[in-house]
Amino acid sequence: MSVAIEVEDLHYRYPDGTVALRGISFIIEEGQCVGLVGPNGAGKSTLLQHLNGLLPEKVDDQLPIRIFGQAIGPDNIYEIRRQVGVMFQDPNDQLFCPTVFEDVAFGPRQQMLSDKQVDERVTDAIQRVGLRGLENRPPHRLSGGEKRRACLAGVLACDPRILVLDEPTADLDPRGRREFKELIRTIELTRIIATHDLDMVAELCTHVMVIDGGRVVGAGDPRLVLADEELMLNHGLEVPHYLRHHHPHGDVG
Amino acid sequence: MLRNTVEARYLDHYSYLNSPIHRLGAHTKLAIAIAMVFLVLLIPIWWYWFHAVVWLMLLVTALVSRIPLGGLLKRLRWVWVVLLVISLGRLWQEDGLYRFLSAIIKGSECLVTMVLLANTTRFTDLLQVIAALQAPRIFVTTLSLMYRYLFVLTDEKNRMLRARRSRTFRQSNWWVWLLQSNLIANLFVRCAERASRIHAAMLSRGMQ
Repeated sequence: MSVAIEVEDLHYRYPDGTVALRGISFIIEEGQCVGLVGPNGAGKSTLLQHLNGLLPEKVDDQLPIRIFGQAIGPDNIYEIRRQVGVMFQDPNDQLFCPTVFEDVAFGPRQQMLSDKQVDERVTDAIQRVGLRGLENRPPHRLSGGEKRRACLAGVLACDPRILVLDEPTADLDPRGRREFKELIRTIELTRIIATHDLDMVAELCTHVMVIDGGRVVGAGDPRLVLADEELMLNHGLEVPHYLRHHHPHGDVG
Repeated sequence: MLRNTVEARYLDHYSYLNSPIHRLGAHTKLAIAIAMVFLVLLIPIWWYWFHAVVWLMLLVTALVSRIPLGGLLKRLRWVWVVLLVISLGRLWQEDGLYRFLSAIIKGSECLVTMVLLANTTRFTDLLQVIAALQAPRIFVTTLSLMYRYLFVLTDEKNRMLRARRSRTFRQSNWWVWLLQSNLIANLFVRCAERASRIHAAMLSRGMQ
């Protein structure tokens, strides 16, 4: 199995002086589904934006991040963005076109594909997320769950190799959350999911990374890491209900 | 304006009604509306019969389109106030009354035509027609972003108003004005923040 993402000693300080990342290192292999958890302000979103080259604001030199062996640098930033698709936390930031079709077609059009190829990509992506029939609907006429699906279709239409999801189930009702989780499960890409929904991580992810204060403070099998009550409580988290009732080594609750 | 907390999704709901006017192609309606505006502007107001026919056509269109007349008038009131203010200046010119009436009558005909067009045609269809007419890309993109975020910002404004009202316990005009100005400033800051997040979303999907 090849290495999809390799990060070595990544530091980042925002222009106002806030230190967000303090020497983060990890390796994610192709096909893994990794949960990124931590309290608010831990640095999750900052880290995700680095994987797509959105941060730092100006890339003058190569970053200590390799995507499928390629270090992110000023020469390959657009190629990296094509390989790493990011779904942002607020669907209203991501759905900026007047209809679902136009929005999903935005990425393929940026890749200078022909109209026929764009149509194929859009139709396929919309079908994958289950939004057929809503192509011409404006985003403000979609429900919360449909908006999330439209965002995901927009990312999938870019044909990425890595899917990065920032709080994908925030603001969804339990049914919407369950359906969206099932949708993520069916996508066979390398996935990184930053979330506070620890049950989703326990159910869906093959690995988990706990970060706090800009550092990785725990990593490994979600069923073991998330069941470590001391680790969870020390970093503003808690053992998910799913593990309290379904722990492989017996009842940990 | 800020006192009005219309839910954002109702801003364009008339354009989703089903009527013979709504079913007409967007390009046909746009062509008729533009032709109408040109004719109205070219033909003097003493051609009374012409203007009577225009008003009759507008009324019939409004009735056939099934848009409530009250709703239409509500949408016209603010633009009509602007028209009135602009036209008032003509009163001090030569033939002031004639010029004033001309501006008011012709302006009103144009406004009603455009408001009817906007409320009987989905904006996304209008955008497609405008793009097909080879309008500059930047113009079409600006219009589409304006349309998209009109709803998001209206919702944001409504949420801020609701939050403010829930913690307002006294009636004072000075206090209300102060809060209104704070709210507008806050809305600007939020717009700027959102703009940078939208830009990031565009970059992440390959925009160069």
